[in-house]
Amino acid sequence: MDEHAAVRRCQDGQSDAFRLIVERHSGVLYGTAYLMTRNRARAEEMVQEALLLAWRGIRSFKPRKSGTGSGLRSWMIRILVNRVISETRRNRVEETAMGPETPEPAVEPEGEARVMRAEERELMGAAMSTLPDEQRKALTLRYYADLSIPEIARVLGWAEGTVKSRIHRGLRHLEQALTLPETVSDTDLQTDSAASMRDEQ
Amino acid sequence: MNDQIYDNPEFEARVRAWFTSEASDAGASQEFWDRIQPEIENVTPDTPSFSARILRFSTSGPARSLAVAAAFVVVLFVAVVALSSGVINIGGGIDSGSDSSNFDSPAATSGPAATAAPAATAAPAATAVATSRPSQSGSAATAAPAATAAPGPSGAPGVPGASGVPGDPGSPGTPADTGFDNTFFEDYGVNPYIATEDERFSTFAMDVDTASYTITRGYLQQGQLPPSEAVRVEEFVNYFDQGYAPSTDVFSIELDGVRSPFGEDNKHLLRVGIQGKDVSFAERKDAVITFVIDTSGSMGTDRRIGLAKRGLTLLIDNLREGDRVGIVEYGSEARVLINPTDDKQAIRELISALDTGGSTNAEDGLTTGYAMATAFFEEGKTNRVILVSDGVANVGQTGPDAILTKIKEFSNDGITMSAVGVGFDNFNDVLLEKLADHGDGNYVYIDTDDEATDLFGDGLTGLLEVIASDAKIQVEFNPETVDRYRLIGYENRALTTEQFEDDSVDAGEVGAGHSVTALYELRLVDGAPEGTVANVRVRYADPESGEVSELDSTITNQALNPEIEGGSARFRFTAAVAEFAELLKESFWAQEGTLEAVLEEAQIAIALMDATPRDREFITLVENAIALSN
Repeated sequence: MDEHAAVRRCQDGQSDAFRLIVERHSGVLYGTAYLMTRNRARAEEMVQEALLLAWRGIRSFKPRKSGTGSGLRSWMIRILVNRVISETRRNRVEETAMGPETPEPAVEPEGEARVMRAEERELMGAAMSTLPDEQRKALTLRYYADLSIPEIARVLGWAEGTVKSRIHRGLRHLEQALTLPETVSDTDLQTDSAASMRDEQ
Repeated sequence: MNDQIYDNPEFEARVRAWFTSEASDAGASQEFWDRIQPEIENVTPDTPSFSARILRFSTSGPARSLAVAAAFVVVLFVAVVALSSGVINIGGGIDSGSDSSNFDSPAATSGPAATAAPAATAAPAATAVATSRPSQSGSAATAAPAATAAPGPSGAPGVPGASGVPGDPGSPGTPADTGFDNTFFEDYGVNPYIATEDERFSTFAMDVDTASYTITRGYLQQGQLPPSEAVRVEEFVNYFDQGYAPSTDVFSIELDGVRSPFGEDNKHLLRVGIQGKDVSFAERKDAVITFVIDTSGSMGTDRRIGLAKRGLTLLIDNLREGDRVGIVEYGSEARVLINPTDDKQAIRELISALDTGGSTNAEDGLTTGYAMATAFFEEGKTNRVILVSDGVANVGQTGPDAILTKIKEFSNDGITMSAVGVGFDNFNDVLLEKLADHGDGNYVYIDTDDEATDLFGDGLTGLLEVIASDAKIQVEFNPETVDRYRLIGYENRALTTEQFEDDSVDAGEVGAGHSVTALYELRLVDGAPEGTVANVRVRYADPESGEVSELDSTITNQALNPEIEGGSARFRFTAAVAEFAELLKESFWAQEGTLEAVLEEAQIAIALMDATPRDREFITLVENAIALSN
């Protein structure tokens, strides 16, 4: 059964057809949720909610007629990201009262995750943590969830140009930080983001 | 993919690899299917667009019983949005909150409104209770999301008190009810240009709501652009005082026009201004007010309950001798705090003791509130239920259709309702607007102390005293002078030409001293002879006697100013406000426009007029929007 057929059957109310969709996409949803929350339990919860929402809302999903795929994946990611963002906003309020959440202890990467050396991973992670939230979100959707620029624009509700410039700026910061880690300070980053706001205007 | 963004593919690959490694920290993807299967099997997907259906004006509403002495029961629905997770799960839960209709519109994803929607499946009710209240520290308007409680396992089947199964066949709601609750904003589209030759009449119900503007302000101050469907242009325009001359009759009409400062050269703007008669404190009728206050867990978030309390206290300070105030609060269930009384001290003490917790049984709250209002109904007074809430995720066992119908019936019996929205995230705009609309009251939104002061202080008379019911506007354009026209805003207030004279049609209620402004964009006929541009008619019913009256006024093309500079500075400012709203709404007609042009026009206008703090704040909002949209 291809995805279009599965979607049609779901829209028809046949819940078994949803299984295919869940199995095909829950991996990327879970990964995305985890990257955005850094918390396994919350990620699981978000994905579960997003899947239920997707099922409830499946009739309002309009499959893409041309191009590759039905667009279902990006639609589901959109639901998920919306969920995570509103959740995060909620948590921010809690954090002010309760202090930040304890970060999830890292697990030893397995299999293909080993393609990256631990040291490089750490450096990239450190650089990543200096990025503004918006840039990191865009990068995650681009390089992890593998969404196109127009898809990211829809998911995050930004203009395509904004998506592009945030990704571009994000990559540039990362690259500079990894090449010359000691020269990129917070001040540079701020100056640069002020400059980027001017550019964009 | 072909989006070439970066010139170092090798580095992009490294980033890609990093994400993959990081994501693997999450461990293996969970057995999601097994977990959700039981719930999925119990739920049918929602039917999209049902909300659009029920949001239209009913064209065949029951005829008003005109003879009813229309004492208005202000149902002040202080609906503090109960959308927070957990809070939603009341009363057998018809809906676990997934709102499919959100997904219809691309815009729906762009703002917190849409993202907020689904809190539903979260947490069992109990977790939402008893959290500390960040209200004192929270800054106004930034409104954090409702739930202070951590979400529990999402709607896990079998969790008692969790929202249960959406669309549960056992719930008496009609299928159409499902999914309503969490439709936060509804996209009504944008009015098209109409060729005068084809249709010379433009008809719509008056709308004095202003919530859309304050909601948008909340978004912008929080650093986000509003979702486009949260923008209703007329509510932006009507937020600002147009400074029309006071009216001695129920209404007066003011018409003026200028060349539009926005868009193409040959467009004009026509301003249709309707000023309602002011009623002084001394002249105002006494009122029996039933406050229905949402004190569910979500009201404990940010400043919601604080704003509600402040509003109530202000109201108490502004009561007349003959007024009575009763209070119903609801969380998991409704509770009568005090029957209508004039004992201000007792009311004050109850207000200050209000505390939040529990889930949101808005249906119980409203039912109890209306029961109180009915029991204490006083002929010759304004009988009103005022609901204060942050929106309602679950309105109880019945569904929104049933509740809206009930409210309509009460209104016909002389008990009207106002909805006061507080809160920001998880805020249910659609439901509150509908409630107020069906209850023949108004819908306002308070996000700051200033707003609360305006509403319950100076604005109280306007809130309580209705000067006209079912007020409608019909503009007839002259095809000899006007080639085509477009009504800016009022999309969800549209009426057919025939409905103007049909007095059974529900239209807008207008409070004392309120004004209503509608802008039309016109394309005039080139070289047209001197003549009428438009004839504007206003039709309304007296809220007490039901007697229907009409008045009209005309403007000619000679009276249109050839340039914006010829118009009043206030008009110029209003044009900027409307353009701003159209840009945020992503209106097709404003696609050539820019926020920078809005800013410039607004600044010029402000320099030329006697600007109020509200006016000046607008400049800041435009600046915020400019920063955010780049």
